Amino acid sequence: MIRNKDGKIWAFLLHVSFNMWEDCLNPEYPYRRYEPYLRVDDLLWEDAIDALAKAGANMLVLDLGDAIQYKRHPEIAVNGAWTVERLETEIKKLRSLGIEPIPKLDFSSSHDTWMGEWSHMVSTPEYYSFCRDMIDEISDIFCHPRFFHIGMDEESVRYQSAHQYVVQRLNGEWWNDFFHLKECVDSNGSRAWIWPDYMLWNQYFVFNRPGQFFVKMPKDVVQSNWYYSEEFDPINQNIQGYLDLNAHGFDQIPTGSFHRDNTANFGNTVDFCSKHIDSDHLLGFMQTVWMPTTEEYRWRIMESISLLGNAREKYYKRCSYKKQSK
Amino acid sequence: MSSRRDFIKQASALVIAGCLAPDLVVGTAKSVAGQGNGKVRAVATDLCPEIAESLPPGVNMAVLFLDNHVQWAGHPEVSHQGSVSQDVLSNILNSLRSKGIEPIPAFNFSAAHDMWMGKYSRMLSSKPYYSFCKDLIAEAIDLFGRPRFIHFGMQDEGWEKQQNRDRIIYRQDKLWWSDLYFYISEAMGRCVRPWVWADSFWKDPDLFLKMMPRNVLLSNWSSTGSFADPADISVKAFGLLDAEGYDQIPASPSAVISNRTVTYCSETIHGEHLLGFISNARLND
Repeated sequence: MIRNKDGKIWAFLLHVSFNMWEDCLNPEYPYRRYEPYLRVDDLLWEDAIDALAKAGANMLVLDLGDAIQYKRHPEIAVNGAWTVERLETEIKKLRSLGIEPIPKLDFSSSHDTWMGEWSHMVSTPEYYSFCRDMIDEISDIFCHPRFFHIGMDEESVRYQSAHQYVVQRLNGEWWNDFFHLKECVDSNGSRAWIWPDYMLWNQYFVFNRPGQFFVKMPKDVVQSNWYYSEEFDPINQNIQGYLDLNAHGFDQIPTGSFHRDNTANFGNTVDFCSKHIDSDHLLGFMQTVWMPTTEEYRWRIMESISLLGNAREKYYKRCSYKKQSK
Repeated sequence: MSSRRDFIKQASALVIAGCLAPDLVVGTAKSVAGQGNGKVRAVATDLCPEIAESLPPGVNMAVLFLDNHVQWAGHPEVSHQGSVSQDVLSNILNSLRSKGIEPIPAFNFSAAHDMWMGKYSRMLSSKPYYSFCKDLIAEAIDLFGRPRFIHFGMQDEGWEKQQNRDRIIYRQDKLWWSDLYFYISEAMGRCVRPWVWADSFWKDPDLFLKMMPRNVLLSNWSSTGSFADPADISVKAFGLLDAEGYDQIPASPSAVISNRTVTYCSETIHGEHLLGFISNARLND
């Protein structure tokens, strides 16, 4: 494990499964449609992991979805899904390179196409059992990891406008399911990690129930607020989210992405958040690309890793300059 | 009159309007059962024990939304506390028939109106859901002694009618159609004709005409209750559906069938495709 002196996390999110968006073709984003086969090219996977190690990344979040032949729920696996043994091999390899593997399953109803039929049973006893089975099995495979990312982002009708099956939980319905998932993670000795956008951003502008997020969200849940543009103006609610989470004492792993023409996003995320989030609550940063791990997207994936490396290097240079100047 | 076809259309419209409107709109008991034109004069309502006594005069069909109001043998878990037993239901059906009223079973399978299903309303388009729907359709058809029609509701499915709820669920595009075909096939496999509210036409008329089988009986209605705006898709729908050869039972979103509905539809829909009229006080809820 690469332990920076300041203990910061430099994470990258890679997709093993990419069935987290439309359950049908959305002409605007054709690559996001559900596909019944694995979308991971092995050579790119290996190159990406090697590049991550070289770039100083010390954590890889694996979005697993339906890409594994789970023992308890083999019915959701896509064609060509990794066996559990293959996943264990990859986990070992990551650890040998100093990269901490962290599992992710997105339980947002906007991103649960990977569940197959279970995504049509949200908030039923059958669904709760499924979620528990999945978290238990993956926690075992990862030997009870430090964190378990449960997604929970973008849960709204707006983000499902092109879906065939639309589900949105709100207020008590959302919190009830969130707490079930958190309890599943807690009982495996891991710490729940989420994208907070849905309940965080909505409390400002949509539902007119101020404070719901900060009143209900437990402090031990790690928050990855995200923002993907290049200008960081706190007037933007997404940016304000970083400041509010900090003011309320949440631990954060701010997240950037290089899925469009936004090369400066991750570097600016690191700059802005390291200035405005208390170091104790800033656990680190995460970069991603929101594309399948396939050769078609090699350049973008490799470039985003290199952007992570550059931002990290700049961050530590700035830290050492500060120390020297003191 | 531009053509013989229009003349026949308008003449038959006048006959139909003349036969139906006085009884149904005014609500008198005059020649209730003896209209002699074979047109349906229906009321859509939830099933309750007193239904046979509470229908307005002139009605010859009761479309009974059974939902969770019956003690279902196959799915007792969805029946509410005051639901009627199968014996009581049988008495209700006999009582209706003795009054010359044809009972028709109905369920509302629209995701906007399916809270009655309990947990099944949270698992649309899944194996347990299909099994549940199949069981209820079969049981209802048996209880009604293979009725002429079975109504599946299906109105209002989308975000609009659920926007104030803490849980929103609905189906779109192919999935909505696929589930509709499932209900239809369950009915037709038992030689019963499916019937739905036709408001899904308003959103995408071309798709509707492409997808909706011609043997499904349709009940469209004017969303405003006014027939004044010729551009209103809910009004235009009557004529467009008629031109495509659908059989229709136009609906009034009110306790009784409105005069305007009868007059407009009798003028717009060919006699052989106009099977009658239906009132549903809760259609715009």
